[in-house]
Amino acid sequence: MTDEPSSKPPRLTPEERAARVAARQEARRAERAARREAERAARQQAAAEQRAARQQTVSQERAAAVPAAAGEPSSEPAIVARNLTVKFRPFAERQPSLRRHGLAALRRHETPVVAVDDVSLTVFRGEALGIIGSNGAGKTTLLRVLAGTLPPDTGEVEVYGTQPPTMLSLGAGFNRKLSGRRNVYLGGMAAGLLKPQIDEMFDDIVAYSGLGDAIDRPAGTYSSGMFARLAFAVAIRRDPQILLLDEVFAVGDQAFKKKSAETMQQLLANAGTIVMVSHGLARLRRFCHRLAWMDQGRLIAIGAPDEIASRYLSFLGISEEEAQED
Amino acid sequence: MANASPVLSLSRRDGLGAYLVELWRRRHFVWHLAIGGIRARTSSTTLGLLWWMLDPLILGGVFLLVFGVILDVRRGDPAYIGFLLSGLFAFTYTRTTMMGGGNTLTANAHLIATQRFPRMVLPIASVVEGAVAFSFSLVPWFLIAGGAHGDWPGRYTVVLLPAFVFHTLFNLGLSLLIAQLVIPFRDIGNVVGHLSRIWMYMSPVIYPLDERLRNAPEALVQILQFNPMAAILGLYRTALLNHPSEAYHWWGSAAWAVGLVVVGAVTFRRMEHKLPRYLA
Repeated sequence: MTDEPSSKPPRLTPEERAARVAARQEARRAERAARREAERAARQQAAAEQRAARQQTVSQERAAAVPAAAGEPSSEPAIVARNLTVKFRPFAERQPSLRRHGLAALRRHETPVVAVDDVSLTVFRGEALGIIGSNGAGKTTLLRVLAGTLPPDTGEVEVYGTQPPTMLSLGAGFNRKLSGRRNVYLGGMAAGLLKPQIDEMFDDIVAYSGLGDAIDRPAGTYSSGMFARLAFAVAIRRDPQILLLDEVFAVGDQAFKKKSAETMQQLLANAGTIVMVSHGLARLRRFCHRLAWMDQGRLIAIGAPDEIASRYLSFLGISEEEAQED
Repeated sequence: MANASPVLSLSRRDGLGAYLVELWRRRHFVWHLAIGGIRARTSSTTLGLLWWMLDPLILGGVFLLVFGVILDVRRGDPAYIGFLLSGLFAFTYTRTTMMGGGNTLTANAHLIATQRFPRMVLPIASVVEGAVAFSFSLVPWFLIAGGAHGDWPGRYTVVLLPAFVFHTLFNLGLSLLIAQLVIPFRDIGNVVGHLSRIWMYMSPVIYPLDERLRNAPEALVQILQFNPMAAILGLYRTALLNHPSEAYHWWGSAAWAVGLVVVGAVTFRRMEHKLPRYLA
């Protein structure tokens, strides 16, 4: 065993491991502090522009600037979020256990991770708003707050309309051991539909997913593309007023991708409101009326897609050509 | 799309009334989750749903062999098989809901992260799942023990209904309590199995406990009288074996059932909004 060239890391004593972890955390903290410092200047500038962008009501100008974006947003708000802050206690990131919990209780002064930091924004009815930012910028957390699944520490979310926002989540409530048919019901009910409503739309869902007779096979036997198609069909069939999307659109094969993109356009055209999180910058630029840029939990800027996207890219130090490659 | 559209506030929590209405609206979801869980567990087996009767049957066989034959706990009691199996199956119901309560929230973390619904749906569904499994196990009980016992069904059989209702409420309360404790302290999930096993041996499942404790200190006997399972199993045996029921079987079961379900539901609702933090 010993002379075998091993790719495994050498065994560490608990002290060594603890030291390494501490060093890594220290380095990360320092890095974060440095970045924060660098961004403060950018943020101040951004805040001013954000104010300007908000005052500028959603107008034809913007629709003209984004030719591919469907429909035209109204000036009525769909979601108003005020001063949202979400903090995660660090011990939730580690393996939670009774011992650690006891220690964490003693060390409550440990700084919590601020996932969303005092974010206020308004989403207008019929608008497609894209949220961009690096990994860990708080995009998904913000989306979950807007969906009402994660109550914020402080701040408020008000929704105008008759339904709460729908988080399009592929396969929520699905059980791979059950048939596609049962999963349609489980997924629909998880999303708040009643049984008769699902009965009514069942055939449409199956037709849309293109699964055919496979619907009665256990979902575990589906290819990942088939599973995603069914999940997308269930998620999208809810006819939502406000749709929240987290990196889910690229599902299925080319044909289904086209179909799902068309469905999105259609949803928007039906005066639906969409908030989406994605790293596909090109797609967001084409699809959204406005982009919001988040970093380290803060909303850096919000405004016209091209402007925000180019600022984001220059912040990352990536040229437009490089960004086009994905 | 009028301007006077109602405003929904997502950061505010629903009142108790609204919560219960929403929970009732989701009753089909509860049922589908429970049935889905039952089907999923047997979907890849050849015998399928038959396992829901085979499982308790085999379990009962093992206990009969060990305690009835090898250790000879029965001491010539002809109704011992019925006694053992009724206790064992009823206790298995409590045991599975305890385990289910510990698992259900972490197993459905994705659902909790993305969908808005009363989280109580999940522990309730796991109790319903256990209740359906328990009902299945009454079939082999009747086939083995009920027939042999002669006067089943008898006039006490109706007691089965209140026994089942109290037992289910009790299990629900227990499941809600375990579910909320497991989230901040995952370690509890590891202990639940052992606790339920100790509890089984401290309950009149395999042997009538009072008979075993004849030489035990008085204080211990009194403590064990508080065991909610003793009262609940007393009711089941009244129903299934025509044992005379004692008054404390009735008020003990009712008090534990109502008390635990109220405490469980109130505390669960209080911590419910913190759930996504711990599961994230």
